[in-house]
Parts: sequence; C-alpha cells; structure tokens
Amino acid sequence: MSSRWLIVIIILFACFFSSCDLKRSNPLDPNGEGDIVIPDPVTGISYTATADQDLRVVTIRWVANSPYNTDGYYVYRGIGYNSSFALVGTVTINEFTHSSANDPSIQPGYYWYRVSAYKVYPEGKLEGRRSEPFSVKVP
Amino acid sequence: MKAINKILLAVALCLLMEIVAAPIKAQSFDIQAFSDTTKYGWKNYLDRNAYREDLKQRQELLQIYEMEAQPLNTNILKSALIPGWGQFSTKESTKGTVILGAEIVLAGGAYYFMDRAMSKYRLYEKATQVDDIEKYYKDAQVPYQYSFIMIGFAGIIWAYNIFDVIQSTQDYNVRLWEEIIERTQRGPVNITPTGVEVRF
Repeated sequence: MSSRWLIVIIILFACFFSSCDLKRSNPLDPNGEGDIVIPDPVTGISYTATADQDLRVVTIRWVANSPYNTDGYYVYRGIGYNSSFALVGTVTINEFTHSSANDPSIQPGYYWYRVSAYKVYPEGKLEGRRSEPFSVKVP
Repeated sequence: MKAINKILLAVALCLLMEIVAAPIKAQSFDIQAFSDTTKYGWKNYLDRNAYREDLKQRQELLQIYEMEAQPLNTNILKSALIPGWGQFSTKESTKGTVILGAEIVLAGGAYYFMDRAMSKYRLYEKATQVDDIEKYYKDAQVPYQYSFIMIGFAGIIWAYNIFDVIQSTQDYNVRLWEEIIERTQRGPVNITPTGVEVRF
C-alpha cells in the first residue's frame, strides 16, 4: 500500500471520528429535539436609585417581552462588570425593586445589575441571554 | 441406410475413446524410472549413506528449530492482548517499545479527553441558561472528538501491530534457522569477538 493511500485513510478516519457528536440530551436545549423557544433578551432597561435615611431602594424597569417566549425575569447583581453575579430577584412583571429593607447588603456605592427573561417548561425554566451589566450608584 | 449410420457411430465412438485415452496411455507407470536409485544423485552405497546422515542431521536441526521458534499464533495473541508484546518476543524491543508506548499515550490521552468531555457534559445536562447550555456543549464536544480521534489512531496502531508481529515472527524464525545452521557448522571451540567459546 502506498503512503498516499495511507494518508487518505488516516484523514478519512480522522474526519469520521471528528464528526461524532455528543447527544443533545438536555431537555431545555433549543438545538435539541424538543420544541423549545428561547426567551428574548431584555431591552430598554432603566433604573432609579434613592436613599431616605437608612432605606435605600433601587428600582429597575425594562420593556416587557412577549408572553409567547417569556414567563418571568431574573435580576442579578455584582460588584463589578466582570465580577460574578448573584441572583437577587425573580419577578413576573417588567419591574424590580431592590430595597435595603429586604436586603441589608445594599450599601452606598456602585453595583452592577443584569436582567434576563425565562420561559417555564415542564422540564424546568429556560433562561434567555442576560443583558449587558449596567452600573447603578446607590446614594 | 441404418447400417451406414451404425458404422459411422462406431467410428465416432472409437475416435472419441482414442482422444480421451491418449493422455492416460502417455502417463503410464514407468517402473524403470521408479526403481532408478541414481535419480537422487547416489552413485553408490556411500553416497546414499552420506545422504542419510545429512537428512538425520537436518532432522535434528529441525527439532532444535521447533523448540526455539516463535509460534505465530501465540505471538499474534500476545500482541492482540498487549500491543508490542509479540515484538518483544521476537527480540524487536525498539519496535515493541514504540508500539506499546504509542498505545499507552493514545489510550491515556483518549481517557483524559473523554473524562474532560464527560465532566463538561454533566454541566451541560444540568444547565438551564441558553448561553451556558451552548458553552458547556461546545466545551464537551471538543475533547470528545479528540478522544475519538485518539481511539481511532490507537486502533490503527493496534492493527499495524498485528500486521507487524506476523512479519516480525516470520523474520525471526528465518533468522533463527540460519543461526542454528551456523551454530552447528562451528566446531566445539571457536574464537569469537568476545573471547573463546567452548561448547560441550
């Protein structure tokens, strides 16, 4: 057998094995076999931050998504643009109020928030793409 | 008219029998040629005796050869179980080391990449956010393909190892036969590059 044939066989072999795909077994995978709709990204975000003596309140609003692809929203908060973000609230309307009355971690300073939409399926909640982090100055 | 037909048929049958029987007649047993003892090159009793001695010696060599020769099936089985083992048996240690080393590296690499792929795949199965789902799937897919490519190459080397052990065993046995003949042709005392060799 010539070396040319050997190279061809090896390339075919490598192509065959590299085309082996993992099964998309996650029931929430939009590229899987299920009829899954991805929630739209959250847009039109605005916010207000107020402080009245010891009470500090951050209110975030956005444009509501279509109910076809969205059942609710997640709100995350971090201490920097590239920091990790923790879930601080789940709402079903297009507004979220983050108050120091409920969360004593709200102190004067800068915080970063992200918002995402989710859709409820029998297998669980599928969360859409998160918004870009935006900074909020708490007075 | 019928009589003519019968005659023609008889003639045709005779011709046919002649054609069929001709090669049989040509290959008739030749007792002279069979009993001719000079056909083996023996001119007399001494020649025949010398031939017998030579045959006896070759039979003894064959016995030694059969004891020392590597059985092909055993070597194939060895190399099928542990790649390179058969090559070690045929004294081709370098080739055996390369094959065994390559198989260990490829099998180890395949296991490593498969393990990485599966740990990412478990994250993918639990993910609920679209970006995480896609990210973990891609993270799992790449090492999974590497793993399969390595398994494939390990398979190719394994197949080559089987092919090679057949040739190695045959070469070894040919060398062994030549070595046995050379060994017996030498006297009991020989001067070798490493010193004086005395065989009892």
